[in-house]
Amino acid sequence: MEYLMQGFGVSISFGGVQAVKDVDFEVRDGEIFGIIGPNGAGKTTLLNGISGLVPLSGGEIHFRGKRISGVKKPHQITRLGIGRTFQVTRPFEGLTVRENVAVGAVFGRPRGGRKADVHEVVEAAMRFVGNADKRDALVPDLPVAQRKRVELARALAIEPKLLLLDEVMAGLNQKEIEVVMDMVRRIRERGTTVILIEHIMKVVMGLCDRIMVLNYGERLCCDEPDVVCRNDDVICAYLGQRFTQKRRNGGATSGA
Amino acid sequence: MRDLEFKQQEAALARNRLLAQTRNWPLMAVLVAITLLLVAAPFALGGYWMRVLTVVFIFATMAEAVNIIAGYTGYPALGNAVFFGTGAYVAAIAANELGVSLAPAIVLAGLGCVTYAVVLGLPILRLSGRYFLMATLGLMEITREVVLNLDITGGAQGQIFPSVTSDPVLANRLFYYLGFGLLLLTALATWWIQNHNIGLALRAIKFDEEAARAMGINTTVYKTAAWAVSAFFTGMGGPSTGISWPTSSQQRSTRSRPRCGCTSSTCSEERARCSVHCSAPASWSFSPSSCGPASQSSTILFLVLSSC
Repeated sequence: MEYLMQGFGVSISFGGVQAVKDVDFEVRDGEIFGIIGPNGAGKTTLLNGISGLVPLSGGEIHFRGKRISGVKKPHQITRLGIGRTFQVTRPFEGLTVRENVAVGAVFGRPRGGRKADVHEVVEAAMRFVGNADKRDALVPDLPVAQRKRVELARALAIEPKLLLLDEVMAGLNQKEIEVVMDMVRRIRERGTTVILIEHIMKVVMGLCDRIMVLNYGERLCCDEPDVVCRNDDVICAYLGQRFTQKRRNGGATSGA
Repeated sequence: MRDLEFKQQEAALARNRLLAQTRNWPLMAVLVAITLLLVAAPFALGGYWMRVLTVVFIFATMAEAVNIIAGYTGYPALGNAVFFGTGAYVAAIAANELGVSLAPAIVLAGLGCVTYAVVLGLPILRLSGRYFLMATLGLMEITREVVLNLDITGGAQGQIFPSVTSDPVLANRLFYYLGFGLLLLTALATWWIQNHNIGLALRAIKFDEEAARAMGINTTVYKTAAWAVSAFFTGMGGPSTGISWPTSSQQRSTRSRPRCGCTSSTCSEERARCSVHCSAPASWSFSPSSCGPASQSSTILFLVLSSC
């Protein structure tokens, strides 16, 4: 089977700290692939490795069967059709919402910017995330939820084949989360594959087709959501050894 | 349905744009009027004021040039005076060694500075913030030291530009329009950059370089291009100032080549006249010391900035 993206023994270190250790992963075309793990597990680092912002210290990442890690620069990776958002939102603060999105549409698309079409792509992206009415607002004037939408629109404007979402729902309220979840579903329906980092379990369980769990930079498991959340290693990583023991014992007594 | 809505929005946008333009018309009218006044000014003004305006034009040109790299791109290039000096030397050496005339010498100066900016920009622009700032200051000092010790530059003596014209009034006008032309050119270039995708890329780099890279902008290319454009205009400003500002040449009369119509002796005799006619020199010189004041003022700026 042909995978959209594959990682072979991906390792990333910062000096003596190995943030990602020998991780293999494969993302299928058209799926929503979740990455979860406790704080500091290396989720964001792995995403940075994919988008080329951080060099790999070992292993390879392939996109559509071709190696991208170490060969392509970040802007080239983007133009292959890999868009992303940042965990701590990083829109261009002195630019209006429209200009922010235009940056993606002009520079991020494979064929570069044809002017006539840029306008439509920008408008479409803004309408998709629902902030077209804020097009002339400056980013610092916007609340967090709106900033996240600007980032999302900017990433959508590059018309990605693969979208990397780094905690797009963190810091949003219940209602806003529902809206963004719906957006992610619609993004997938348009044929874009999504890699999603998220802490909110409701989102992860509700959206993802498969989930990879990282802990201390290592891959614990990678499977469908309901399998993953029953995995002892995962529970141990999230809730600690003691809880796992208790659960095991509890499970044993109730089973008996 | 959506299409209709889209078209309505489109029309609203177009209306807004038109409104914005018409709302700006008084400003545009003032700008045009000032431009026309400045074009006509040499026929009404005396040499002194023309000289003042010439210097204003050239310094405004350089300010615009610095704005491209420091303003739009957000790279605090305090050492841009290096292109000012380099440009002047390139033009002078081209004129003296290759016999190039004034206009091509100035263009050559700009192109020389572009080369210099690209070659040095590729390593230096990897730095950011205060580190880039310090590197540009260092670059300036290094260049000054190198220029002082090379034969082709004339060492501490500097270079003397051959006569352009012997008519002081004509020369005065020539440099006035040269400065004015440079300013217009730079302003147009800035306007174009602002309204073009390049401007968008530069501003994106300014606000978040890593995010810009993740959005598909080849930041190395754009940063270097911004610095090169900045260097181009600063570099053309160098010889233009050197020509119209011969004060540094008046202290040195070791060269036999004819220079400014008023040498040190005539200047001391007729200071009043000189203030008018010195401003229309037929030739000029450029020495390493010309880098000095600029570098000092940059250093002061740096201190002010760092104390902020």
